[in-house]
Amino acid sequence: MKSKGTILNFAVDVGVELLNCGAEIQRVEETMTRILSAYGCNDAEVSATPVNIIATVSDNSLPLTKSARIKYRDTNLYRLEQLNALSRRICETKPDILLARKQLAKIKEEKGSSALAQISAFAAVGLSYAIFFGGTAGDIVTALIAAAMTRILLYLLDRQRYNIFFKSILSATLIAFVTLIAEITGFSHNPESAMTGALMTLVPGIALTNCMRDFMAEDYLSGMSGLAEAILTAFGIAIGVSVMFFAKGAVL
Amino acid sequence: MRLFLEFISVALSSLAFSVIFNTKGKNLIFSTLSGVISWIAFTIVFYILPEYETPAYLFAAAVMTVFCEIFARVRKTPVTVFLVTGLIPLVPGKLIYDTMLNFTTNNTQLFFSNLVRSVGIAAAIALGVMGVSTLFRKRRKA
Repeated sequence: MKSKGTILNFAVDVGVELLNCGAEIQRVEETMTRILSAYGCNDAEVSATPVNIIATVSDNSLPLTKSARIKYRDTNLYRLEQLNALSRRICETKPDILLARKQLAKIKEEKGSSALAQISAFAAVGLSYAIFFGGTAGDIVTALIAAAMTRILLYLLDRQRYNIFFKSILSATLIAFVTLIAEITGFSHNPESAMTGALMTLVPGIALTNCMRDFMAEDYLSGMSGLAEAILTAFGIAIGVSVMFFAKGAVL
Repeated sequence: MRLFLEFISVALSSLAFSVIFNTKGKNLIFSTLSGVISWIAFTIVFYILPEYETPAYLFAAAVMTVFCEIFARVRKTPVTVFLVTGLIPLVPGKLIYDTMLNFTTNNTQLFFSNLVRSVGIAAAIALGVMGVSTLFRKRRKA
């Protein structure tokens, strides 16, 4: 029988990983509670928010607590799937905690989609939405280029750890700039469709819907933080685009 | 022709967003499929009853969630993997963008009407998803 501290450490690590790859709060709390009770901590109290985790178990009637700060959140559905499979395995077979930890480390090492895949996916989003908003061939190509450049810019900004507000301002400015050039050179006939098409890679539609879901699941804290993020991102995009509009008005 | 182009672009964007969110392997097919399903459900309702926009979103989200829950059980994967991409064609991305653009360009009236519409649509989608997934959860425990 391993000590309860080791088990607690492991459960919190799984919880942190889950939050890092964008799992819902309910899923994090449920998974951690299940892992803890699989290893014999039936009286576990787990509380997670978008920014931290606190878990307490009792060890010989003395409380044992571990907390963790969540430093970043991203959407990595592949890792989420792997972590879910891991916790399922743990609850079914109850492997040795060292083995489980090794498997967790293996999941941590696995990388997400490659940079090239990400850039082409952004380009594909720009392209498909430009079609959706009724763009001609020139607009579609413009949206494709603008969206691909946005992903490259985001890589550069992520390296410097800029905040999300600043990132959306800069990327929206870039997209507006690219479409403006395409418009001036006469390459794009319906620049509106090219620009909105490329911007669809940034707009916080999913964030807004997820925050509504959090509210309905009575998870107000993560709902509020999601709402704040959605508003800030949308605001940043609008500022970025408006900057370019003003520049256009001043120049032309 | 218009519908066909929309169909292609919706399928492509759902696939692209699943890559952006790091989905891998066979799940890519299912998440693309859930995006296409939500768009088809929305288009059918919206063409029959064009005056009921928000309920059409609710219905489409509910239909899509049913399929996602089934996919999740078949593939033994958390349902979020399919839900996130299934929502892509529905979420009011353009509307949110228009809302904030109206805000920065001092177009207050349009800003408020767009704001109410996008919040309403987001809430309708969330309600559709929550309703169905709550039903599925109850049944599993019983």
